[in-house]
Amino acid sequence: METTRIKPPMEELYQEELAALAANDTGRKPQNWKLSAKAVRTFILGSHIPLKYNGKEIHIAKKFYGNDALVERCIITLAGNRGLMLVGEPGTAKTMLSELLSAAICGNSTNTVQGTAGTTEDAIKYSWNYALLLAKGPSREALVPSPLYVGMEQGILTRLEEITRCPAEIQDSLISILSDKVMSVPELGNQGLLFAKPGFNVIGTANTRDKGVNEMSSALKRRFNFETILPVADVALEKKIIMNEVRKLSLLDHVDMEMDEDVADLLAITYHELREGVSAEGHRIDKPSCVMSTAEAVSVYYQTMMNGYYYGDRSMDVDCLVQNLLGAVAKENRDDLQKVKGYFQTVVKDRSNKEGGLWKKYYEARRWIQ
Amino acid sequence: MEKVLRSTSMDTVKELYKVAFTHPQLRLFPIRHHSPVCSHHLKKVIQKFQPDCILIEGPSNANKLIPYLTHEESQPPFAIYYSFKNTSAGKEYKCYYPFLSCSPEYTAMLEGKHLGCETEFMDLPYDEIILSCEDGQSLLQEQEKSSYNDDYLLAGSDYVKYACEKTGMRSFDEFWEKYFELGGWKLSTETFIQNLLTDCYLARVTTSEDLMWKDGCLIREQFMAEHIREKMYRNKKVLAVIGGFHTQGILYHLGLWQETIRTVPWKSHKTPKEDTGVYIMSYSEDAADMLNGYRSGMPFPAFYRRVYEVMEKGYERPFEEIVQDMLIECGKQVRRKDGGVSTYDEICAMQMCQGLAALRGKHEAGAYELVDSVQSSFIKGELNHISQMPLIELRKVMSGRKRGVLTAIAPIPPLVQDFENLCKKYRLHVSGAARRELILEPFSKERHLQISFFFQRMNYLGTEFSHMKKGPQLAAGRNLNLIRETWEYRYRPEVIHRLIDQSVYGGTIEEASESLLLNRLQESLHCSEASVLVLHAMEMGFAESMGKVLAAVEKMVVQETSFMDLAGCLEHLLFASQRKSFYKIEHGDVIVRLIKIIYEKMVLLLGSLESVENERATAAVGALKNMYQAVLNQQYELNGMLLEEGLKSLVVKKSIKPLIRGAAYGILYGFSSEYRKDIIKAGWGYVQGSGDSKTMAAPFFRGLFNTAKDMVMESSEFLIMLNELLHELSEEAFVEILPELRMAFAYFMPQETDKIAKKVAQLFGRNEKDLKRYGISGRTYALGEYLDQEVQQFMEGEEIGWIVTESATEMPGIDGA
Ligand SMILES: Nc1ncnc2c1ncn2[C@@H]1O[C@H](COP(=O)(O)OP(=O)(O)OP(=O)(O)O)[C@@H](O)[C@H]1O
Ligand SMILES: [Mg+2]
Repeated sequence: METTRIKPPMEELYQEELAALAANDTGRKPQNWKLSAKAVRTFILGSHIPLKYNGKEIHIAKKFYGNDALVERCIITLAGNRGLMLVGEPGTAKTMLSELLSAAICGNSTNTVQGTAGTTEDAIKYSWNYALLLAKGPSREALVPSPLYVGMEQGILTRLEEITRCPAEIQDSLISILSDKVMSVPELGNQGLLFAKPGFNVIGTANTRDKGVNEMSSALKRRFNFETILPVADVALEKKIIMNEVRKLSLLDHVDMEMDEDVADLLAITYHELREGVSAEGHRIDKPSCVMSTAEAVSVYYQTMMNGYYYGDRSMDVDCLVQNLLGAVAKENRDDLQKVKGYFQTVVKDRSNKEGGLWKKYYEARRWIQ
Repeated sequence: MEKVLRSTSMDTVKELYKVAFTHPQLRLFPIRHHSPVCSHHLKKVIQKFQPDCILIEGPSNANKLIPYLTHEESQPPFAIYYSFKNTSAGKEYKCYYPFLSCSPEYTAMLEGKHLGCETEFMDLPYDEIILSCEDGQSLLQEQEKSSYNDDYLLAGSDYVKYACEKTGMRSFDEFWEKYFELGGWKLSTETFIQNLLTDCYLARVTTSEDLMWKDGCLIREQFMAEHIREKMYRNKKVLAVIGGFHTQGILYHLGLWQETIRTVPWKSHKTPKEDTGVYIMSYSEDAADMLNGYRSGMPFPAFYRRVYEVMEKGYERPFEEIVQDMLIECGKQVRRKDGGVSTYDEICAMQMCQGLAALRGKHEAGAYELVDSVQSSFIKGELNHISQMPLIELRKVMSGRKRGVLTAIAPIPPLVQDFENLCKKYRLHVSGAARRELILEPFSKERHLQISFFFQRMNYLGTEFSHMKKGPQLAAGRNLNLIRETWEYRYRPEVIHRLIDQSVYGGTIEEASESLLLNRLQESLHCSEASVLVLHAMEMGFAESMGKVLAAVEKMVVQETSFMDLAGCLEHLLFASQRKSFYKIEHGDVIVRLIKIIYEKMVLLLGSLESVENERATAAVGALKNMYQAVLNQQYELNGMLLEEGLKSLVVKKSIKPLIRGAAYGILYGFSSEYRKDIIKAGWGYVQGSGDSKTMAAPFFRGLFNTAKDMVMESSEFLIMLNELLHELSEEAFVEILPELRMAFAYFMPQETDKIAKKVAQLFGRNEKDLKRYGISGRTYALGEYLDQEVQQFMEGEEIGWIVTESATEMPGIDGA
């Protein structure tokens, strides 16, 4: 399922939009922010009114869908004293939103700690360049800063991806940094206190599927405002996300192929119904245990599109679509395959009879399900 | 939509404002119901204009009640209750018109009182509104709790939907708060009204005339305009308070606005006076909260009431003031419930409110910022049913608990009057809210019988005044042999509300409960729904209605083709028949005749049990038992052979459920012990069958033991069978059937299980002495009972049910809603 594609960071991807927003920004900016809160909001939620920049009209597209109020709360949280913690099922755009926020607020979305079971205190605070350390003794020069250190030193955001995967004691070492905004480096003696510059804050993401936030210590929890991102509830919106995201990906990869709205629609419906466990007509469906995220839907569409572009006749091949869907669903659990099969035999079959067309082709492609 | 917007020039709205607000004799004040800022501006306009007459949109048959509402002892929230009984169509209608202290209509009444000017409602009387509506729109929803002042034409218009989407608002209420409450109270009254008129104008031009017509909106405007014209004609300065949506319509009828609107001559329907009712009742804020499912209320009544209070006191930032107070109150409640919220959390929340308000371009933080800030600052961790507690507490604070008061001289509705008289007559204590107990012997004391009827009627009316703790429960068929009844009753204000709510059914408790019963009869779809009413009629003492119900049941029985529905009906009638001697019912022979008809029909339909669903199999067994019981009872003179033959062909059906087969066999054994051989054979069939059929032995036994346990007691055959079964089953299969087996043995009395145990011992060559007894100790039992009570009490005290049933997405402020 994974394609290796070098994805530029958000601040590069949206360089022009950000520049246009900055040029037109009249709002008051929190200290060290590149944009005002309103401009950050516009960057993420889009605007109907194009901005004038360098003699061009720049349209700011909506990038995060489904919950405007949540985005607003995130922005206000980051301007305050507490960190922001985004929690939710996989593929609900936690990472994407945190990247967008950091790109807009400080022009840097790559100052990131990736949490794993093996994350050490070094990775959170700092380590040493031993050659320099031996040559010159402990000094700032010899110190290798962690992303958190960088954030504090420069007054920018640090992203803590999948923070709940870090061992508990590592998580806890964050507490004092977040509450006092000071990191001490005892080796540096008198100069060993790093005070965070204004503008510093953290955005954590945590996935409810693996070790949820429940196991986080309550002392650490208190340092954050939590935002729970739910999967997109509206099928039309999900389709729109699929269309937009695929379009963006194909631009990056120079895949010059028209999008098929009907296929996006079909995929959005399939994902929505399997996720909710009930069809549009109100019939119960067995829910697969794997994650049926929008991100997966995007990926399934894009895989199919790439296939059509490079090996096919530049159209969306339904057989290939179903194969990709199965690949995505059966990743974790073979029982899920049976559930998808059930879905085809009931809901898809009904629609194939009633609506024909694409649904009929979709139903015929069920033969790929073993 | 964009086209409409483009073609609407500000000039049109300015013009509208000009005619509505600069006429020397008229101010037509547009409002949204319950809006504090509308109240705020309205007050100013009234004080400046000094009208001779204030007219308020509202059914005019409530005019005589205005003095009680504005009486100094009365305090909102309260509501006017209207009822109308359309005798020719056989339908009842009722609706509420709630007032909060921030409702502009209430402000207008109060100001009118201060000025000492005429103050009246100007709309059609309630019955006329109903009769003028073309179909079930708006107020017409029969019997549903509906309301007079509903903004659905405004809130549901295409324009408003469009505007919410364009401005990124989550709902019309949020849109309204931003642009009219938060954004409106500091504006000059003129600008505020112009803004409001713009909105109402656009909402109206994007609503089809047809809808307005069907809704009755157009004819009401015509009537209201007539009312206004009449006052103006008498040289009065008129201030009229109307839902903003009606502005154009009314101006048109006054000849002040150019537009063509459908008109028809209006003629009174001359409803007899006794068919309409209008009363006032006190109300509570949480009942008026739209979010508690009351469509016509407003969201967050306490929030807006308090905003209005401080606004009128001249506070600079009234919304923010209340936002802050409520954050603190919510924090306090959360701490009491053990949620860790610190002062620092509260500070963060307040910062969040202000930040969001600035970001969203609002002058101050409002209700939606408050909800958002609690969500982000008080909830630690993932949002779910448990962690959302702070939001629930906040909602309670914002919704409020204030209860209105009515002056003691306010007229009391006849139904309430009758209730109070009866309480006096039966010497029931209705002062204070304590629960009281009363033990009745209805069948030896006439007075007790009357009280029992009274309690039953109050129950039937849904007043929750009385509750039978011990005694015969007819509809459930429990304790039918009991003669004494232990009742508990408790007087609370809700009792009065519920009574008023039922006023439409009649002026006395007897009349109201009886016509409610007959109403239900009309609505019942199946004979079993109708037959339960026989029991209700019986316990409420409605002999005459009982005849009507029985006649209706008979008609339905003839057409009924469902075995299970007939079974329900049979059961009810058997209960009725069993109790008929107590109540000296005259319809005994009708009941007996009906039982016979039903029995014979059920026999014919026995075959349909082959395909009965799993969930109903147990009920089907109950039905078979009832049939057999009826056969055994001489007084019904039923032909038992019919049942026997029917069961004989039923048991050999292939796909019949083992549970039903077992039960049917058991009944056959009751008819004759000759069936014994067949039964044993069938039992072995299951036990020695392959795979699945073994597990089916358990329900078969359960069915059989249910109807013929004596057969088991008589010999060891079944125990041998069972022994074999247990031997053969895999552990997994055994665990699967264990619950079924337990249930099968639950039909035996303790003595019988003892006997069975002895037989089992013999089977293995042991004797009684080897049996060990496992009993439940008295202590364990007591502990169980204690726990049971504790849990019950806890559940009653807490709003547990609410939290468990409410889904996260229905909560205000929870995302994805
Ligand atoms: N509400 C949404 N708005 C816009 N795009 C969305 C939305 N939900 C999902 N997506 C799409 O799905 C992708 C989600 O990927 P992302 O890696 O950000 O999710 P995540 O929540 O961090 O998942 P994980 O828990 O697996 O890390 C986005 O890049 C975007 O393409
Ligand atoms: Mg992620």
